[in-house]
Amino acid sequence: MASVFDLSEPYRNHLVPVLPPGRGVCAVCWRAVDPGYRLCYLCRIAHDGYGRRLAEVVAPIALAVKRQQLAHELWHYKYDADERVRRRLELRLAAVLWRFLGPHEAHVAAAAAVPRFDIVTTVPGTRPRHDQHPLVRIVGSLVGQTRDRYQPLLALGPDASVEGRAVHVNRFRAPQAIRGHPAVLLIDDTWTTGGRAQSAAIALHDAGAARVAVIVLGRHFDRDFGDGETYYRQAKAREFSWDTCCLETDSAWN
Amino acid sequence: MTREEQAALVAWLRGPGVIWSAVTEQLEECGSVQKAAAEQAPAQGSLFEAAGNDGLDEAARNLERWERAGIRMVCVLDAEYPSNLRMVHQHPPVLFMRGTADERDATSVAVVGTRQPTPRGIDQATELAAGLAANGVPVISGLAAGIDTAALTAALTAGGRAVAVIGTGIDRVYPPQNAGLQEQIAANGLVISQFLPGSPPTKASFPMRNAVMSGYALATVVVEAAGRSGSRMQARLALQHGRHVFLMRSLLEHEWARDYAERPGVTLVETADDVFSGLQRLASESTDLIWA
Repeated sequence: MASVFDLSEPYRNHLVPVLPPGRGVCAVCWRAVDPGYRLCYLCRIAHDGYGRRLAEVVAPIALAVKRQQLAHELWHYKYDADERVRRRLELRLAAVLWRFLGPHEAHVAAAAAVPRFDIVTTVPGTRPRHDQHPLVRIVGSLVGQTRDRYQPLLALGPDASVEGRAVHVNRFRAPQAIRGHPAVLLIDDTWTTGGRAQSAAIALHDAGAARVAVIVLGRHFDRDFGDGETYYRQAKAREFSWDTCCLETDSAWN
Repeated sequence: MTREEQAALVAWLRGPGVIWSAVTEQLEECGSVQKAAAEQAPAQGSLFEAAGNDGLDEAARNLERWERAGIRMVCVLDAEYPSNLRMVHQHPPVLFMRGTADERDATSVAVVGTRQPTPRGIDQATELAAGLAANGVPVISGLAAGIDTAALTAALTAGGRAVAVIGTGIDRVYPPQNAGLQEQIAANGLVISQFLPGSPPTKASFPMRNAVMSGYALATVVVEAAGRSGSRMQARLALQHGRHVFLMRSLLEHEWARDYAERPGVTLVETADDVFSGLQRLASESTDLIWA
């Protein structure tokens, strides 16, 4: 048995936190935004189109900075040609998720205005694969805090293969109605534009979920995009800690 | 991978302004040189055409010449590409190798240190490498003067496995006085270079080599290193890769080492046994997790 602490602790050496909520940070997806705007362009488009069908809260564990270690792991745990590599990274990323959920699931639940999450599910992978998606193994088997609440609520919808990363109402579907208006914790590995996770949140809401909160292991980040470098330097200066999450600071927007 | 694909890859890597890390990404994303090259240069058709026959022919001739010299090219799409290295973000698209691959390298240790060691540093590197070799742990180092040379020599002398990761093309030697040692390691262990054969040493090539050395080994031991040394850089890279770093306790006389000693994934050691016992824990291949 590997210890969550042993596997997750070295991540403190290279994880970069998202900036705390406030001016210059999108109130949904935590990316850099022009001061004076509450939401980034894509989150505003999604909000205008789908409003309350979107996730109530989005919490990234860290930035997945392009060409850095977390972004590398979040791709290779799914697609590396070497199965040993995929399995080793899967176990480490499971430790990262568990280490985060231990102290912080309660904060995510509070931000979603629910006492706890009744069901935990994952955003389905959109690339065809011959084996079980490793995120399903992470959430449904490896992470003790989620495995008993895991339910595969979502499947690919009729428009799953639509090009682009926009929010799309038929990208995913819930094959069965979700009974009892539960609060659902939706896990994804990477948030790039939010198109996949928000499309999944819509499907969950439409099928009966009362509340949907999203936790992503990494929020994709390109230092060369816009004023990414300034955001990156500020975020890097705040040392990553397992003791705090992005939801613990009062938002300047509230 | 076919010879034609290898030649196309070499021609691609030789192209002006080509960013090698982007080539790695493209190859892994596409799964073949042909598809990756077509993605890379869609306007010109595939790279096989874009590189021109002259470029491909020259690359094919080079590959034959390298092969005759005992040099083989391993691409990130090949099964022989080392698993440890795949796990770090700074893995290069190709490796050039002389010698034999060995599965034991998955639990190898990089032993690094200054080019201007003290006698104490040489003793430490020698004892450490010999002790690791005696326990069956392959010793990886950079083939630089000083600590690297002492560690690789000690591993070979103890009958252990030595792997040199060098900062030049694999057909070159730097520093020149290590030519004999490089040949000995190629004959008994493995020499690795991430640079095209013929590449000279440059200011940038040694830090890049350090990243590959960190990625190839399971952990790094820093024996003796001043504040701005490449060894300190390798410790930093290893931590950025999520790899474990062992620091000789005597390094605590340096402020940088006192700072690193506080970080997660860093252990102070005095002997090869200390490293070996730490390594046992790192090498365990668990498939399950507990909250502890």
